[in-house]
Amino acid sequence: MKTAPRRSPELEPGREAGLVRAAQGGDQAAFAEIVRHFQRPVYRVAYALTRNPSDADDLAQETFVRAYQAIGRFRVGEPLYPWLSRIAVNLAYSLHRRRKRRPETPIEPLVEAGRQFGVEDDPAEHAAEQERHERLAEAFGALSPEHQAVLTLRVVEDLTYDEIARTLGVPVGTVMSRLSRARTELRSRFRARTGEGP
Amino acid sequence: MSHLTEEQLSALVDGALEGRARSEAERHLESCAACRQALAGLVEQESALRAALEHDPGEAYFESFAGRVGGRLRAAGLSGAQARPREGRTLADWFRSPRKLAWVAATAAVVAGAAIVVITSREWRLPALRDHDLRSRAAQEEPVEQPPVAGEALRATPAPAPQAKETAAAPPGEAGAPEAAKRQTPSGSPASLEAESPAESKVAPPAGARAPASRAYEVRRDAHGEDVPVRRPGNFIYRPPRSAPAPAAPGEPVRVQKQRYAEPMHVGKGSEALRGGARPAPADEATAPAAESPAAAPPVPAPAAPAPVAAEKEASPVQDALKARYEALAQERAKTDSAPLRGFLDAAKPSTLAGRSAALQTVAADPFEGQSTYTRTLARNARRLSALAERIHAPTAWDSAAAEWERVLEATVAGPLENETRYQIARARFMAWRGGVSEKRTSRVTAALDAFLARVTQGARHDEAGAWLAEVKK
Repeated sequence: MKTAPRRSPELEPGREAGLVRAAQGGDQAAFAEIVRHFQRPVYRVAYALTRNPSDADDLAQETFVRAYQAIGRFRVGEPLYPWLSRIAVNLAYSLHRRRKRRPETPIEPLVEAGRQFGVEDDPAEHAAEQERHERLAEAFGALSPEHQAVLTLRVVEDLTYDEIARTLGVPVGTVMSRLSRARTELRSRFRARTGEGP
Repeated sequence: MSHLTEEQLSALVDGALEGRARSEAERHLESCAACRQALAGLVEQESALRAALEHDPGEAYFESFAGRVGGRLRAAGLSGAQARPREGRTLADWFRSPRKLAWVAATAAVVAGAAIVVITSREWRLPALRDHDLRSRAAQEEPVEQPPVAGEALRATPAPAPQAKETAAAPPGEAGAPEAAKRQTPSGSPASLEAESPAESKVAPPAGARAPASRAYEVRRDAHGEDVPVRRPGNFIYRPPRSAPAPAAPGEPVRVQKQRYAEPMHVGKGSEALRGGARPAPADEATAPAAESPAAAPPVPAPAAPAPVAAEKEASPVQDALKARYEALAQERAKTDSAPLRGFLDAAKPSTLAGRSAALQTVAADPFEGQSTYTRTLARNARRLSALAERIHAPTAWDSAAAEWERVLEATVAGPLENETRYQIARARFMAWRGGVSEKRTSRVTAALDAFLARVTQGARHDEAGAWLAEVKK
């Protein structure tokens, strides 16, 4: 499956700060450029944390709306991406809390499964792999929001422990232990669903 | 050494173990098949999770994404309203922050509450303090302080009869005289008793008293036989100075309490002037309440004004910490702005270290240097997985590495980089096949080697790949 780029093309040195300053001054074109630069990684985090395109789209857009509202308080010179991913993670936490109170059954995963079927060489093999991925995604969805966030930032975004710590606002040691617990929990939940290791 | 813990395995997957911890873990892995298997399982889970959580909505989605965000901003009426640069913010901007406003409100509430408590308790303490003060001052009476008029009154009331003592007071309209009379009354007389303990006067009211003990004032007869209204000791009410404040004599002791005690009402200006020498001026009287209880809280209006200042001071350590953090981040970013240096730093990061040799390889000759961050990240990850697979000799780990290299291939354009990537895929597929032969692995390694050999027709790698293919086909 073709994947979205892990990071947007790099901004030139000082370009990010210039864009932030301009956006703080009300320059919408500058903010639009920020959106274009970070839309893919933000969407990736949003999708990993929601696991359906509709929610991911909503969460990604909302992330930028919140960022626009708060850009005046953003300190120029600070890396923008950890800040944006932090907004996305916090929005996902809120969504998770809402869903917990009022569960919904999204239909998009089913649509996705149907759409992606038969893309690769062997349909049977692909179906089996797809099935495993779905079980794994289900197991991932059953994790706590904190475990989902730390795994997303590490596995999907490939952030370092330092970057994850900065994004989540926790010490590096906590990132390390939380990742370990999240992986163990994911394995046991996956095994409970399939009766095997991933 | 016992088996590796979950945390150690997790850190190994991320390449986050360093130094001795890492060498010990690797030594253990070489001798422990169970831990190798556990690590391979974790690597495979990681790879599968990445695939399970990724989704590409397509280029069309991202082309219109910024426009949709803009539409959402316009719908929310947010165009340009957010412009609030941090530098040069005014006090009004500061108060616009709900959090800071809440801090100010909370601080003001606490200060106001404390002020109310202090004021209330001060009211309660006042009578006791005054009585104690009066008693001590009455005991240490100084004749020097008595005004000349009081002296006359004293001379006019030497009568030993209890009634005369009780009614000893200043001439009508003369301030300070009754008190002076009391001061001069011998200790133990009814008048001094009254001064010390107002309650006793209720039990045995003085003969000259015409008002009930519960009233604020009582009428006493002075030396001239005239009735003078006199304030009762326990009912002091502070009154501001009635006339223009006169400067007090320097070094003059303030005896406000004693002066107020049993002060006659309706004191005329003439009498003010008369007692001026001995009694402190009204200005002193005005300042006296503050001097009465030094331990008392500051005046009431004071707390309201310094509240924002206090909140600012309270917030300053947090702001300092944030500033330091931002500066550290800015410095870090500035460091990574240089591409060669960034390459070095990336290689030095624990999570990207797949081994000392891999790090050196990254620094010395990274064929992906100059590519997009996406491609470099993928390649870094793939290299890490290959190095890990090589260490733990697990076919599943090689499968994961091959899958990651295939991702790199998707992001790579044709050319030398493609050949390098295809070589890595073929190598990983071959290693996985050699670790555990299966139909799937055989077909995958054959396809990978064929693809590589079709593009690279000579050289050491061509020969190596040819040997692998021969081994697979055999």
